[in-house]
Amino acid sequence: MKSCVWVSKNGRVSEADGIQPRDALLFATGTATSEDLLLQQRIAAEQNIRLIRSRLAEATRR
Amino acid sequence: MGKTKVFISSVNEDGLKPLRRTAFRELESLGHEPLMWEENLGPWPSYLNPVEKCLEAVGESDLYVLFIGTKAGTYDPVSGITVTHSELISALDKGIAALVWADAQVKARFFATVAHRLDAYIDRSVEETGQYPDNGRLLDYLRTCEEADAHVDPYVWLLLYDLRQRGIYVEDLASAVPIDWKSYFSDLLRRGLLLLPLEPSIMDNSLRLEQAGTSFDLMTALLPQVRLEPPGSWADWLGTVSQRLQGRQVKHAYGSWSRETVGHYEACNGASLYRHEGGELRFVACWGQTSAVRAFALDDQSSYIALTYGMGSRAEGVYYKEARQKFFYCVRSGPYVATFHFPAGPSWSNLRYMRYKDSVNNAIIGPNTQMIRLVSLFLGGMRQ
Repeated sequence: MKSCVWVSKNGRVSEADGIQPRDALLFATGTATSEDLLLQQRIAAEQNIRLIRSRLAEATRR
Repeated sequence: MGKTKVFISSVNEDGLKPLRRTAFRELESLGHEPLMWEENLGPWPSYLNPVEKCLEAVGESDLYVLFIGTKAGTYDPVSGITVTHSELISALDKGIAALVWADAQVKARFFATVAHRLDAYIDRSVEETGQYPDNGRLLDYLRTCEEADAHVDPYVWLLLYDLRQRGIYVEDLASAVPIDWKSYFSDLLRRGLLLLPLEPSIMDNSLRLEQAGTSFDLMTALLPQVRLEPPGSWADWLGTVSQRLQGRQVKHAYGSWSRETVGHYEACNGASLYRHEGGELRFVACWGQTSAVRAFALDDQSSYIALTYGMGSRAEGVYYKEARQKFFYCVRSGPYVATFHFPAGPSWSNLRYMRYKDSVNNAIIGPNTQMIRLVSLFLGGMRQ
């Protein structure tokens, strides 16, 4: 999902477009959640461990 | 005993042919197993794709050697890269060590001027369009760039630029100076020997990492099954979490390899906790540099606390306010909304946040994913 920026100003939320006032509150939707990132990190860690182990096994094989 | 397979890569350029041939012979005489198109790779039957076969050979090699002259070789407009570049990417992607040489004059020109021109052009494009220019646009620019010598294929500069972005050192290639292969291989041997004795420690660490992952999974499975008493001091509880939330750089990724630091945020210096009660979000506690607001209405669209609450029972989000120069990470769990405040570095503005929102989000949440999960589970498990 493509992320989108929203702005809260004068007590109303609308899609942020163009220059926003300094006291506006900005936030995005559609960005990665902590669950998404945790899953990505776990998958990457598992892949890294597999790669390191296979390389070490090959490097120390006689 | 296994021999070291060395893939020798370069475009089929007349000036580089003697060098490639010499490299092949020398590597062979040193007892290694060089792989090179003209010598022992291909030609393959016509039904086989020669590029795929070359990439296969790259993947089977132990070392990737690249010579860069003035020609770029075959450019694939669909992928936007040359065959040689795809070999390099394939080698690096598979974690294969690379040794790269480039024509000394081309390299000198690149680092003296062309690299800076490309930096400036890319910065300008990102500023104007919000996107990193693709290779087609970069090549168009290089064709018009006065400093990029006309006798050098424009893609050669892109290849060098990519190598610089990846932090790969490029050696000088001078026709009168032969490559001292023995020295290079002695250095590779030295570096390998530094790491090989660490095998037991590395294996031990990988085991500990797996065990930590298993323990975390167990904790996240058990926590929802219990009811917890609220802590004696919510402020201390918030402080315990907040003091572990460090400041970091915000890096923006362009594709898989290029990254740019676009700003930073400082360590968490304030936090607050609100709870849904009596049709409003009531203040529970705060910690650090933040002020307490007694309550927020559920439909208060000016409050990041009410906005997060309204997004669902497990909502979370990063907010930015230029007037306070702060990022606010908010997480809801059941009736609670916890907020953690991070001073934004001086480079941030509304426009910059809008441009790099995904990178800000990932920089604040990414290093703290496990902690966030625990905070969420603890809050969700509190006895009402």
